[in-house]
Amino acid sequence: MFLYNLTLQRATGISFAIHGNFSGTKQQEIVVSRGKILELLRPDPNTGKVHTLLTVEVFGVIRSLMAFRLTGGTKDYIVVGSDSGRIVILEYQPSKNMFEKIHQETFGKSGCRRIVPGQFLAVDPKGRAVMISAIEKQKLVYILNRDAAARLTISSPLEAHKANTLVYHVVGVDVGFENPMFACLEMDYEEADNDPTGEAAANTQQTLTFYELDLGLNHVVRKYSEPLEEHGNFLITVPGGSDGPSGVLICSENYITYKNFGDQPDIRCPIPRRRNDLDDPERGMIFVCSATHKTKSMFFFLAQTEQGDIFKITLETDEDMVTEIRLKYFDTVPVAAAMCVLKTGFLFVASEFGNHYLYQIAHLGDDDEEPEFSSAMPLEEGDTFFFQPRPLKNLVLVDELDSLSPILFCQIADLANEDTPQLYVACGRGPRSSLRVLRHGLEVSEMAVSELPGNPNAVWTVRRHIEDEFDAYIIVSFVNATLVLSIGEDCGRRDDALVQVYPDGIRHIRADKRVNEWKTPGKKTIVKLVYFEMDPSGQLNEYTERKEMSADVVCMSLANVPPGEQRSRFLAVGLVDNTVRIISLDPSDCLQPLSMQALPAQPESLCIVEMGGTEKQDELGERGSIGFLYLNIGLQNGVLLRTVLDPVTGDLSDTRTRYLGSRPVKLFRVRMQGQEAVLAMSSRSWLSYSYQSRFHLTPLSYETLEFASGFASEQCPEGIVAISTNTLRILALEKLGAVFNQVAFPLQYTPRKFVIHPESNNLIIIETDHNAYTEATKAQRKQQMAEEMVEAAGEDERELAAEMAAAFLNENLPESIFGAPKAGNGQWASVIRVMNPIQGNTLDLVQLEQNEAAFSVAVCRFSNTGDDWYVLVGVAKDLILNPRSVAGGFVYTYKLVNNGEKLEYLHKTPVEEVPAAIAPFQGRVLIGVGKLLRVYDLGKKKLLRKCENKHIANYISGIQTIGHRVIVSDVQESFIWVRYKRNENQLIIFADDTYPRWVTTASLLDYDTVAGADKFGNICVVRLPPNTNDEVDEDPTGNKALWDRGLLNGASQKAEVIMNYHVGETVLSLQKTTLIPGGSESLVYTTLSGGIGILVPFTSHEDHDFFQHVEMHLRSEHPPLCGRDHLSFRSYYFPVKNVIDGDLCEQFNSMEPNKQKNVSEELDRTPPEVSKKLEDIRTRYAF
Amino acid sequence: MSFKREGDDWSQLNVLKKRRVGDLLASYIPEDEALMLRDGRFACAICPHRPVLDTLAMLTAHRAGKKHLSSLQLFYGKKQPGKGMEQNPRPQNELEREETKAEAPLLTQTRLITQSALHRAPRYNSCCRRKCRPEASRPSVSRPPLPPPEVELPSGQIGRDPEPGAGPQAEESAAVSSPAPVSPTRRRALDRYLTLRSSGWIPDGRGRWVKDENVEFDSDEEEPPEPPLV
Repeated sequence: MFLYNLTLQRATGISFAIHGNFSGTKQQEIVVSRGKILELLRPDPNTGKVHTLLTVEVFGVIRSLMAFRLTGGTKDYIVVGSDSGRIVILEYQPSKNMFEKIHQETFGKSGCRRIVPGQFLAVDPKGRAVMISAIEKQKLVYILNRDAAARLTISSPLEAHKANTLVYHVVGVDVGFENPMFACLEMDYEEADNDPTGEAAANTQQTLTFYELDLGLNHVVRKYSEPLEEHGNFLITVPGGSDGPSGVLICSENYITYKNFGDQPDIRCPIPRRRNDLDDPERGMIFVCSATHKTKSMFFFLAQTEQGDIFKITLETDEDMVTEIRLKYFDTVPVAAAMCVLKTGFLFVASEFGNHYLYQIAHLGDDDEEPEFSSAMPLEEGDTFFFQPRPLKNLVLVDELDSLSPILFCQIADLANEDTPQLYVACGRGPRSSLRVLRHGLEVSEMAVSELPGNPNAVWTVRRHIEDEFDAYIIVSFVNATLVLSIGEDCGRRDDALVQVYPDGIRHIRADKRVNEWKTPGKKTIVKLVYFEMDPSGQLNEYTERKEMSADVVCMSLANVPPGEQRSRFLAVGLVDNTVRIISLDPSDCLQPLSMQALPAQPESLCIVEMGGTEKQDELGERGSIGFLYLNIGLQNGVLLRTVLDPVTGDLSDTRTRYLGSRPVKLFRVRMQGQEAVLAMSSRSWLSYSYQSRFHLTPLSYETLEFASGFASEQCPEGIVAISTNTLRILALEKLGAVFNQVAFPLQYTPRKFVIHPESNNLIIIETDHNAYTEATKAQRKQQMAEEMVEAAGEDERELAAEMAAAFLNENLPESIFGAPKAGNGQWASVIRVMNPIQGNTLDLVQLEQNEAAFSVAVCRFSNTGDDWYVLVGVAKDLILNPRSVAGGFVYTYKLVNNGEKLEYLHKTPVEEVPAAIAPFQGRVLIGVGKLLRVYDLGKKKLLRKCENKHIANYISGIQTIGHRVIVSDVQESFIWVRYKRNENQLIIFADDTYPRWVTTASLLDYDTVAGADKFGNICVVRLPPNTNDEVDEDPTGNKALWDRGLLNGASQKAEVIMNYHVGETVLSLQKTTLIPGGSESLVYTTLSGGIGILVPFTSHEDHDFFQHVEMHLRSEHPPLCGRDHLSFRSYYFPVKNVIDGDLCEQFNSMEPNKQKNVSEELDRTPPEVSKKLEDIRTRYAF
Repeated sequence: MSFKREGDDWSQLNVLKKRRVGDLLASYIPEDEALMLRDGRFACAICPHRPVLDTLAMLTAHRAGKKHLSSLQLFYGKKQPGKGMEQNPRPQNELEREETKAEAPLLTQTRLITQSALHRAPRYNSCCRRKCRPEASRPSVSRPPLPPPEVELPSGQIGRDPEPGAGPQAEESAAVSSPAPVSPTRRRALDRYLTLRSSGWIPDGRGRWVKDENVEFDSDEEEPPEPPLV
């Protein structure tokens, strides 16, 4: 078995975000890392939409990311710290739309190790040096400079190592143009290590250490170190030099402290807390991320607490001495992994979990009633300030980037009866979790819908002048009239110059109502071509010669006029005789046929577009054009052909075919993200566009359209105006590049698993959160706090206190933004929800008691109770994760009643450990209780244990069954094959795996084969060899106790590894399914970071051979961006076996043309043939 | 790496040769004369004390031993000799040919007859998958406690109940076993046996069912459920 890995949707969670002028223009961009992906985003300052310019998979783990700019430069570079043991400096090339690796310096071993640098990066604010640090001991400083040709240079590394030292955070201190300085949060553990009494360990303090790079002596010195009172978690650098007082802010538990050299005293301010917070008051509060905004005249910091509250931090200075830290509550947004404040006044929030947001900073919060807290205010030690959280006041949400991260569980099924299966994805965390239904298609946002007097047959848009940016009029054509709508304030009929085509001829109506008319010579079907040109004066000129065609003309298309030219080069004509001809429009050989292509059916519509060009604007601001010309041919049988049109000879080559729908295909040219695209309409509408050097043909998730045209206005620069029956619709397609459109239904707690009730198609979801209160406990605590408030008040304040308590009880801030109260370690809350997946409404909800955590769910029937369906939920009681302890568990049994809409409680069965896996098995159930595998039957008062196996190694995390075989996944020891012997009522282990795998999920591929994923991001397929005997017996001698004990004594038969592959993200669901109707089966996986991918089998040896060679050549010709070797990345934990990485192969399309040519020559093919092969294998299995 | 032998110690070579031959011949150990255990070891099914042996070689050695041979006589003395002789005239001819050479003709004959009657692929040969086991009684059957007479069944068929999704192996063996159809009463009895057995009832050898003490039952469940009336 050989498999090919394809990513359907890349990871969506963000681990780092930096901003800067990466393309070298005035515009600011954001670079985000998504684990192993580097992505460049550009927020459009006019519309506030965030566009993705470039996504690159780097085949390595990005551990740190920083932007820097050389002194006096205008362009920012990107420094990447990864697991490659190398520091990499990247530059964004806007002309080629790619990241270029400028420097790659090797300094250590690859992998995420504790003493190999890469975990922390800090740059000197003036861009003169960069420090890369490991978690322990090693720190390297590179000096950055420019050479005579103004190219960036990098020095050899300077060491700043200190043994026995742990590093928590590193920043570059802004010291102006003095020697570059770096501040580190460190801890020296040498003494603690050598003191057996443990006294030193208790006294070890964290230190703030400054490292100075002496540019004159070219070495790094440990300049100054100071022990800290509180344990810091991160540092914020304060602008220095001419911009501010310099120094650092240390964020620690409950406090933020300012520190600097010299006479500067420490300034310390407590972190304010929410008034009447349900959280444990003993719990400390920390800042988790920050963003700095600096202009010429001022600077401030935005820092976010772990509850999501953002504070604006300002410093008061007196002659370069900081005298006061001021904090002001700004707003509350979901907890972020990173924040960026842009010059245009946007705040980009890369959420820790769930969707990311772009906010407009509408107010700086300077002049409102919000109290400002200051370090100068006298407070007792341990006391703090309080504030009242409120809905957004200073920020305005402008854009939301969908993120599935984290995906906890996914099932693929056609529950909505739509032919194409949907993906039901349980994602999110805590109160921000949701169940999302993903469907293949592009999301359409409807900007306007207006009814028209009749059913129009066509619509166009025109500009007032060719140089106008926006369209001025929409022209709607009816059978017997033309309606002109002006875009803007007055939408009504307008008269202006236009060309009317009617059955007998053409009428050119000019603005002053003069009419030029041209009548066709007699009534006949079109077999002649007449060519008109409009001269600069607006006169319509007919070309003297006419072209006779051999058959009736059904459709035509003119290419757009290339910039700087008078006319377009080609005309494509589709004829009744199933051919398309390309005709020259060059004045020298006007109307001469150039080429012809036969078609499988009659053409319906043609469209010549220029696509695939990466260059959108060159340095002079002129629109460049290095894309290819494509002729799109829509056939009457619903097929779309895309053919490359040679820009010189007009030859047609490299045809790609795709079936779109049952109706004839109509094509329309539209603009999408500055490039041309084709809207193809059949029974479904599709958009064919080029996005990040790959062609996408994606259906629109919208109703059937009849006619469309591109549309540009101020509000919607790249829209579409379309007709659907008697309505005119203005649509926008904003999420280009997205494969799925999603519908989200909110959930209360983190969804862990769900099952589908096969009769009603309802979902039964278990949601469980650690560190959370149940609704009942929350209400109780609230009540208790309200009572305390009243009691604490003095006699005369009673009434006021009661009022406040009532207000507090009524206050209801949405937990999805403000977060749920944190209940503390070992506190669990769970619900069981029955949900209709189509409407998304909750049909039934069972709240479990506080500290009952649901871990497993199954829906099944028992052979002794007939046709009733039962839901079994495995619940742990009082589970403490670390150090692990559990007070036991229960299996709740519910009967599904009301057509699977209600849960009727039957009984609960106590068990000794966590029941983490339940699977129906031969009319009974198999339950994994800790390490015990048991068969239970339904009893009257509880489930009855019928059989047990105690030989599973650690903890059963999943159970799959097929026939008499049971495949148990252990949390640490891979798979164990068990056979149930009915006549002896025994579960006997007969085979296991030879590798330790920390299995997260598994899926059976056939009777002997199982696919599994582990928590380190690997997918494997293991198979029992053909001579496996599953009829082994237990040792009959009875001296088993002596010999059979011990974990090393595994089963005698071992599974064989069929394939191994490192995905790079933890895979939490695997399913064998078909994604497109009529497609072949593939193994679909979803990852914790929100990615969705598939593994597809090769059907022929030639294909496998071909892709193996593509992969091999790309590994050498196109090595990964951050310096990690591709083969070693894919072999991170187990050597990669029998899998070809399609993500790498598809990077063929983004290689430079000459390299593409080299690689394809090696393969005895042409570049279009290779990319066609790549496209074919993708469309055969998915989208 | 090379497996070429060095040296000329003939005794060692002979030992190796013998071991190799032993390994090759081990596949002729009849299926019901040994049990393969969960941990890959083997138990001799002939000897009443069920010795467990770590490797095939040791099993072979054990099988050549005096104790084993005496048990063998005991074991086959219980069995009905010549069970499949009438149905298998051909193997009998083969037997006759070999008979002359055998030292213990009766014993060898009995053994060979049983073996041919069962006529299946060697069990322990890793190159061969056991596919066709017609009417084979599995080793487990010979293990005590024997079910009471009315439910004494070839459990080899029980295991091969054709069930959905049991895979190609099961289907094949089901196809093979189909020539000997089970009468409906017998099938009902069989089903009942399996149902009771899998829900934790144990036959006590006197025609009654007792509760397995490791299995849970409903508190009002004193007797095994009655067989359904047909």
